[in-house]
Amino acid sequence: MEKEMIKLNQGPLLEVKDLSVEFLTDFGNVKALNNINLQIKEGEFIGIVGESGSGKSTLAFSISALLPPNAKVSGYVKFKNDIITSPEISGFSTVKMKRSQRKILTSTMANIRWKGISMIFQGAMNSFNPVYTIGKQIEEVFYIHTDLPKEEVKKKVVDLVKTAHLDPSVLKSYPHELSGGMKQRAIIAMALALSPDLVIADEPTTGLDVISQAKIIEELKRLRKEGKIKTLIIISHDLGVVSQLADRVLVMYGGNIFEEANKDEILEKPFNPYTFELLNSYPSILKTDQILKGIPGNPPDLTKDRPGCVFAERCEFAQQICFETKPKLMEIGERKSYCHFADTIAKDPIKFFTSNLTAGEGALDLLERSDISKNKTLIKLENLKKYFNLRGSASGELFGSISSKKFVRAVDDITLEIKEGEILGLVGESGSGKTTLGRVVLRTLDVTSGHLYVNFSKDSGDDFKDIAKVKEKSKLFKEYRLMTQMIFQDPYDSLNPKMLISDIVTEPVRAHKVTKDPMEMEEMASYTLSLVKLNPPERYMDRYPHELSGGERQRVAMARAFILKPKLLVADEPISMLDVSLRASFLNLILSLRKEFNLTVLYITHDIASAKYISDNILVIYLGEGIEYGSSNDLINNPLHPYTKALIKAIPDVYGMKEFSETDIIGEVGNAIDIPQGCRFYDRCPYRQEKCKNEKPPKRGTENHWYICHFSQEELENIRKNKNQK
Amino acid sequence: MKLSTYIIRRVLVLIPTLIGLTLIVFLLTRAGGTNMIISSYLNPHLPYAVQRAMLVKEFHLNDPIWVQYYYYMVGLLQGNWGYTHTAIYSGPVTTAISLFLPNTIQLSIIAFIIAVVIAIPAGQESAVRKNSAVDQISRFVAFVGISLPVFWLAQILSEVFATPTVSPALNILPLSGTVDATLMAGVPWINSIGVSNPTHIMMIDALIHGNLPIFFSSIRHVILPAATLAFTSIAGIMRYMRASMVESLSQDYVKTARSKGLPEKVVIKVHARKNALIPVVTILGLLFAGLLGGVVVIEDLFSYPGMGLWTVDAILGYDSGGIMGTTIVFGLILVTANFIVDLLYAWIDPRIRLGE
Repeated sequence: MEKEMIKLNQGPLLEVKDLSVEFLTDFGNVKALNNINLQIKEGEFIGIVGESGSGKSTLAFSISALLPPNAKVSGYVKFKNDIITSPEISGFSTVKMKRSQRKILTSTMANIRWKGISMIFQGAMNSFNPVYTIGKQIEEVFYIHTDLPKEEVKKKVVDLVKTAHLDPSVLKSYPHELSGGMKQRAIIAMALALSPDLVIADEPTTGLDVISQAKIIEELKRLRKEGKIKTLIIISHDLGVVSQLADRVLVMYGGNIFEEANKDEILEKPFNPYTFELLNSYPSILKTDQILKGIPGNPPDLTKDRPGCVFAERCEFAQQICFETKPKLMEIGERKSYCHFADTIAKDPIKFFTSNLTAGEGALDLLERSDISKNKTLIKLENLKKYFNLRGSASGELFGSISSKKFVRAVDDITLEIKEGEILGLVGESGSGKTTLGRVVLRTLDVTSGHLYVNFSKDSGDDFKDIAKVKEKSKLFKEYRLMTQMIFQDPYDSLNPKMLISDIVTEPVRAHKVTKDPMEMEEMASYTLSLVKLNPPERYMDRYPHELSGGERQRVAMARAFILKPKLLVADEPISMLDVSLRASFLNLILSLRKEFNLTVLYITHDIASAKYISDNILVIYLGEGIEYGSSNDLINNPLHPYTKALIKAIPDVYGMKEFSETDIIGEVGNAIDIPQGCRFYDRCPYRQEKCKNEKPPKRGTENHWYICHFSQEELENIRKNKNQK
Repeated sequence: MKLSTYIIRRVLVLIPTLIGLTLIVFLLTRAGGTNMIISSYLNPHLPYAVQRAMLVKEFHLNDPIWVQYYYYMVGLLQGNWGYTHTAIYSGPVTTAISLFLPNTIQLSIIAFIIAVVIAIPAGQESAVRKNSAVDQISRFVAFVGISLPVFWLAQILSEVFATPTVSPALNILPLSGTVDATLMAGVPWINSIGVSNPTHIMMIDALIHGNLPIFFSSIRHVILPAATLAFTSIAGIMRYMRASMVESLSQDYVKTARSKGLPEKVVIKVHARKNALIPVVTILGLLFAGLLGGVVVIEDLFSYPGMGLWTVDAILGYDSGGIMGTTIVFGLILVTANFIVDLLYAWIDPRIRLGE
């Protein structure tokens, strides 16, 4: 007995034992967590990876004792010596708790919250209260948990934001005045206020652009080195982010821990089919020309009771037993894997994963790139510009002074050629003008100046017409509308919830009056749905969007865009809202449509790895200006512009670790209103010289791979060396 | 944008609104024809033709309509708003406004305060304890409040609380007027129509003159009309507050606040409520304007000498001066209420104040 007591005291910092959580909802009980066991020692950095519905956030809420009242808990979570989540004190039971009991609980929790466990939320979004200053919200922590006098708290808060590399002036700012990256730093500062034993970071970089994300990751690494963060749980859907920070990784799916192992082991040799298939879903800039398979099917419905493994219905390696009995979390040395075949896999993973593999969804020749340079040109942009007037409102027009009139140069002087059958990746951070360019090309936005030549020829010849200033009612414009379609980022907002799938898909047919025959329309819809691999089509035609999963909805959006066989498709971040396992198959869908119908695609994204996977050529755009263009392999393997170099270095790739710092890029993305006179990138360029400030940089390189800069590659290299010497 | 710049801009935007208001009122009365405009100025004891010619000349009724509008606006700005001849008051419109408006403002403000003080905490509590008994009851009351017509409610309340023949036990409140007639008799600072001097607000005047019985009596007289008026607004405010608070409680910053270890009281009062109030404040202005609509009915039902009672008299008596005067005053109050709401909004929400 005594022995046990001692053991208890020296036990792990955090212990999760047989934890199951169910949410009681109107649509049935959602089994969010099943029998989770987990121990975290002091000083560890644990990563939890999972897609939406995997239970990773529920686990985080259980650990921070923040389960909502409709949760039913079994098992417990212990932090140091205190039980913080258990059937008696969490979720459902809190509603009917006695007042005296609640009081005791509140006082224990008050000690643990923020002093013991603090959280870093997704700060780019809504984690700060919009109506109070950052300073007030950080100070609040001290007032609640300590008795320090006001002056001392103020001093401490200033020190805190300094450790997070922020200027103390942010304390007087309201959240909306800061950029996403700065807010995230402030969130980190707040989390470290009381030097907690355990920090939980829940999607700390989601919603940030790639470069801010890389900086936040570096920040967390630095804080670990300095001992400011002792123990960290990092939760993300992005294995890349997790692998940058964690020592040990937990892979979750459908409320279970599927695999637990050290980071390197999991990345090199996964012992679980889900991990294996998940790793096969990430586009990587390091993997060369390898087809991504993704995982077929949809995320599991957690309200359903199933006798077998929750992943069985999507697993390529599933056998009879997987559907009949639940697997156990098997321990293999230090590692754990939730699979019936864990032992077999552990003996020889490569043999298991190659011998049992069934044919994937995409044929392997999708990535074979035919030489598109001989194709005819479909669209030519010449010095295309789109400015937005900053004073939009009527009162602003009346009372704003003329001299202060400003423009947002969303698209500034873009010259570009897109061949038929080409997939052009348009890569840029948020605010770079990539979406605007896509919409200007479709002419859903008017062109400010410049030319937009479109090849209307039906055969192999050329028949270019400038449609930049063509009126909307003209015949030519209508013809162009028929040639083009778009798919949007959010599959939830882009489909009208009150329309049937068949009506959504056939809407373009009706709008363009292609046919009025309902039979023919149905035939077209059914054919297009099967093209986007929604099989069998009859199963989807009479349903509403809310009955479909995100991946299916995006395919419906694709079917709607493709029903009239457009020549040009503008895809604006089509995969960024999808789960990782569904992304690859959507990209493969675009590739297969291109292959079959010679579709031309303008693929707009902030994710350069997916652009590399799918595109023939990539244009990198910064503050409305194209700064580098090249074939996708060329541009990724040999980036020429300092911005592209930084962008590629900033990707948290699963297969590579990089150090990212201020020497790669300075500050945060600028705005397209106050643009530097010379080079657009001047304010952030680590290579900048005097002449960059006022002189427009020239185009360098070849016609097939150009960039805009004052310096050649040798000169850039010399500048870097000189800088390093200093 | 600085707050001062914001205010200046907002004031400038008021100008076209006010011109629009006066123009619409002007055109509406002119649409009634010459006789409607001059009828209330006619003296039956004098020859009609002469009077008509004089009035047509005075109101420039033979000039083009924009010239008439010009003279009308000049009159308005110079304080010459015409004359009113109604049962409760006869004289210049401006004097009538100065007599009746204070009483109405007092009634609306008291009703408004009652509504806000009850509805905001009730809505908040409803949201915090979603689906509990408190929530169900307050939602039921709100539903009743929205559904009941105000005149019927007024009838019921006066039968229950102010009619000895119907409910002798509950007959605790006076039925009509601003103060008991017996107390009013012979008091030099109260005139014949029941309006007091110098502020024209009975409660304040009673205190000024140190007459406590009249003070308490006036409070008793304002309870029924104010409560009736408030009841209809409570429902709306409460429902908005509940919805807004439910949304605010589900936001990430509330999660952050909880995980920071803040007591639940602080989470609700400091973090959730202020955000929840932002949309509610916008509709408060509109509801205050809605109260004014209720005022017309309620003052008439309770014979409460204010703008509402005068408006009804003016309308029933084809009194063009009175109609124009009251309409403009109500319009001005509406515009001002919206203006104040916009300022409050900017003050509460820093994103509006500083956002461009």
